[in-house]
Amino acid sequence: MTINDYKALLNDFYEGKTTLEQEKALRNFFESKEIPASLLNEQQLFLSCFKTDDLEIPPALIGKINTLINEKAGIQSTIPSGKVIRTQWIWIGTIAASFLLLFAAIGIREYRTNLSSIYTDTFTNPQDAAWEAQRALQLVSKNLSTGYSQVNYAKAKFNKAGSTVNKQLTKIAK
Amino acid sequence: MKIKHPLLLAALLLLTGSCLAQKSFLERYSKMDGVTTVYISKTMLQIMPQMEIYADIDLQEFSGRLTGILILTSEKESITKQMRSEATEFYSGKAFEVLMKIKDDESLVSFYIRRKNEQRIAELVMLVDDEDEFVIIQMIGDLTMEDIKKMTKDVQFDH
Repeated sequence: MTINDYKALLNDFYEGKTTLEQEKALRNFFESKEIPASLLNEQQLFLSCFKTDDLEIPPALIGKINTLINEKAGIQSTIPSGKVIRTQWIWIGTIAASFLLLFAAIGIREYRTNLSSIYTDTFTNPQDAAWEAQRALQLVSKNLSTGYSQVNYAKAKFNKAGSTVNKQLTKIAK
Repeated sequence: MKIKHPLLLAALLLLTGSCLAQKSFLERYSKMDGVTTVYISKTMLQIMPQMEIYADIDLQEFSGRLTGILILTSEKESITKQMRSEATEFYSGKAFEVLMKIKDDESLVSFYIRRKNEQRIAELVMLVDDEDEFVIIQMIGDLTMEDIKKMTKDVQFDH
């Protein structure tokens, strides 16, 4: 390989286009002692990419990197779980709404059935209906009257007893 | 705020359920053999005042305030027993309040009301539990306690 080939390969290396074998060839070339003066600077730069022993990483930087990684991981883990919960609620809501609609439909159907069966006029002749309504009202009236009479009777008795007690208390007081 | 929606839905379902409960209870008995069902609608009640009626109660006075009268009667012992139990349990529920109970040697009569609000009554129900029959009379409408008092005859009320 010529010097120009190494220069082209070096450009490819910095652009990330080289294979492992090409990188190995470049490394062998720069580690040799026959480097032209025009490539000495490039040699230092290239070889520094492979030097890790004397690289000092500040402990604070490691901590910051770890924190950053954890934060990113946390954000990534919360976003999907939130979405999952939201999706679950949408499903629950949909199911609940479906049940509500079902109940409403059954309710309306039953209501209509009831309306059509119970709450439809038994009589077509108003005279018959009037007679029956009158009979029902009379029955209600008779029983209400009996009840209220008893209430009045009890009230009268209570008043009588009260006045008797008052008379006696007045006598005692004298 | 979000929690109110499920509660509203639940309340709506319960309300619908309780309304349907009475209908299904009366509906069930109205379909049974051995139960006589009579319903008089508001329209029919409104036609009545034009007619000549000989009776003690002034039907005209109440016809405008009633939207319907439903009467269920049964003389069949197996049904009356079941009706008595179910009706008593149902009308003793929270929606109704006892107005009056009258017991004599022959029967037990119970009156229940369902209020619209403090002043207005949406429903007056009378249960007549005789030895040989059980009667449910449901009067639906917009009544007041004064209207109910007017239904009584020859009773002087002390205020």
